[in-house]
Amino acid sequence: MTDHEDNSLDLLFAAARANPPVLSGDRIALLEQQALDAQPFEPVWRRAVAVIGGLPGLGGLVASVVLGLWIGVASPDVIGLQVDALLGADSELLQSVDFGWEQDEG
Amino acid sequence: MTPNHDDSALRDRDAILLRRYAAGDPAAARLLTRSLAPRVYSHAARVLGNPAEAEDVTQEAMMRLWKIAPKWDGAQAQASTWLYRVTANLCTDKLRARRDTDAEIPDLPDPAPGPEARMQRVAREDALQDALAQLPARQRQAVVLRHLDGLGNAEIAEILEVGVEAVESLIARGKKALVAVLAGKREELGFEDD
Repeated sequence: MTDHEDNSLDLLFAAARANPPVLSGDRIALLEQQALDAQPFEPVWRRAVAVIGGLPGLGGLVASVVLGLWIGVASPDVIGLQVDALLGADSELLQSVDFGWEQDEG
Repeated sequence: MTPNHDDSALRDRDAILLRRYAAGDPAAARLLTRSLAPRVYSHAARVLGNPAEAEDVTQEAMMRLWKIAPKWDGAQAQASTWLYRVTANLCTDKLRARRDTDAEIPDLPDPAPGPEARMQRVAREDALQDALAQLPARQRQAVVLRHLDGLGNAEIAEILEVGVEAVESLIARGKKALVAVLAGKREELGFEDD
């Protein structure tokens, strides 16, 4: 094969590469639909998790629910002790807060 | 093709999308269809020279990909390489069936007629397609994969399930045959002026 013939062939290849056979939009839409029809069903829980932001969102939701339950179920004394422990029993913050409970109770 | 960073990234991307597809993610189904189906169709249309048959092959190849998605092993070939192999085999089946039935091959549709340069481009594309159709199937597939799909010889070897040297030989013989077929059309195709 001469250089001239080789160059001519390269030109033909280049022209063909620049204009590849193209699938119509309708055909691609049909293939997409077939892909979706053949797809394994996505479980409802996975879609729900995706809606709330994936695993990080799920983690935050679970933590909030557990904390809310605990606050709702535990007695106020226990919560008070936990708050004391968290902030420090002699914390200036606690001492500076006047909730006014004594006045309410007369 | 020597494994490199790009191949590895593509393989990882394909594997992730196929896992997401198998997990039921509709966006993965659309992404995979839009990135892979046009390449499958283009290859099949070049090898078969028949749009309707190429559409059939594309549909069948994509269905096979969806079926294997739940079992896809990320360490194996790129999805596109696997898909090209399936497509090449489906095209071979079509060519064999055509030879057995001696079916007539309709031409690929021509773009709308235009100025002279456009006419010459169309004439060159038609001439190449006609010449490709005269090559033995394996030579045709190797030439299309190398010079029209732009793949490397190692990937073509993987697709055609032969050694790299065999691929080089197929391409060299294919190009020589193309030159012989096109020899009488040089002037007609405007190559005397190039």
